[in-house]
Amino acid sequence: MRQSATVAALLIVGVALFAQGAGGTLTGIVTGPTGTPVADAPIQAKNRQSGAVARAATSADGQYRLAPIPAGAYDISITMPCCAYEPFVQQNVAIAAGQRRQLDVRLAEGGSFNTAGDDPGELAAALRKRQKVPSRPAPRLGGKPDFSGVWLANEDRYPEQPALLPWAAKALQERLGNNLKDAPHTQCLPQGIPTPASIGPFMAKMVQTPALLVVLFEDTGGFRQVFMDGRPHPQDPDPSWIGHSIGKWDGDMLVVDTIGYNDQSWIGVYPHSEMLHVTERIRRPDFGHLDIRVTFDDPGAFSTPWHQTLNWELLPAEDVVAYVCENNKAQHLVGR
Amino acid sequence: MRLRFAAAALAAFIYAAAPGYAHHSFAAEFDGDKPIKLAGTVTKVEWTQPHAWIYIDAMDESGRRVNWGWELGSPTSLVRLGWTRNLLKVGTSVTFEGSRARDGSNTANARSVTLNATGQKLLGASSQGPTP
Repeated sequence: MRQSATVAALLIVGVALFAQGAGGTLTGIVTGPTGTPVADAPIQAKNRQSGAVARAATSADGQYRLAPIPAGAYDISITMPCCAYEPFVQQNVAIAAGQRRQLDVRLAEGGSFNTAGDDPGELAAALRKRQKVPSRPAPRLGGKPDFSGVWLANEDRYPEQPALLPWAAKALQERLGNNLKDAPHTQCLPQGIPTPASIGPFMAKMVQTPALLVVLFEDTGGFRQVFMDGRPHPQDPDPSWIGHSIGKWDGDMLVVDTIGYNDQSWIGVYPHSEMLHVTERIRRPDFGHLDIRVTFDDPGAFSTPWHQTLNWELLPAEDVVAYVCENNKAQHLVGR
Repeated sequence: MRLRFAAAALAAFIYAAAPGYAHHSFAAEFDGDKPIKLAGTVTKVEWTQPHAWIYIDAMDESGRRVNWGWELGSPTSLVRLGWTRNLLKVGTSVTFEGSRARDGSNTANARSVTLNATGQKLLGASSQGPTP
């Protein structure tokens, strides 16, 4: 008995040593421009050769640890919820087997200029503090998951970069060059796709019936309907800001198919054409979470389809409120 | 050409970071290189979407009274962070910090708001909370 325990212990030590030898550790602290620790910063290390990714979120005191990760060269990136901090990218960070490498990150200030009340990350943290989310399975309705509830529309924490056609790349460059001053939202027009497009301070309320899913969102535009009564898309829909959506169940996943967009809206900062076809695959893995995998397919703007992965959180203590864009002062927007 | 493409690709990578963004880019409106700090008295509160505005009367260098507008986040967001529309009443003595508008008008974004009576920072980095 004692002998087998010793053998087991040796085996465990052996495995640990092997793991240590085969991989390295990347660790550090993430701070803001003034040196304050940044909590819940999503850090990603992408292996330049294999494309494999290791991910972690910083703790309340800004610490992170990625381990063990195979020896190699990595691109390190952090993308905070827009726009309190600039995204961080450091390419070609070498990590040797058994090495413990320290990489501290100081995030630069983002385009929101630290304006009071305008940091979605700060808001999300404040909202999370006052929620009591039960740990239980997702509710069901007519044999299918029920998505009803008020959701914090978080952004993709590890955003993918679309492959833009030349005209779209040029449009993007222009937008970035003038600090996004022509974003539809600056004129109180709907912000993005899929609506609600993971927007800073806004929430989405889903109301589900067997044949219809209604999404109420606070931002301009206000609502979406996903028809689940078997109707097809219209033959030639008038292009609109929110398009025409139909939903079909694939097991416990709702597949929402949307066409009929105008070409005025932005997907975040990216342009698109009227050929845009959006597919949202929605799951509610448990009571408190909604996982949405979005595919953007637009041969008029992207050379290949691309994706967003959204992880929304239930906010049982909140509700959507009126938001009428009544006092815009866009005259101050000059760009640079 | 290659260089330009590389620059575009880099920009795209960086801003892939921003699938959503604030109501509008504050960077298009305010100049981060023009910081400003002003003490004054609240003259008006616009508790309106898409952004709350608070106006104060402050003295310029020549002792002349000038009215300044300060832009904050949306009331929706401010309320969820614990503010109310009555937090700063007309007549309250406050100090704002932020960045001046690019268009040269007497406006700025509000990075922080401090109550002059108590020195309490109401919002902004390392604020002590919204309760005055």
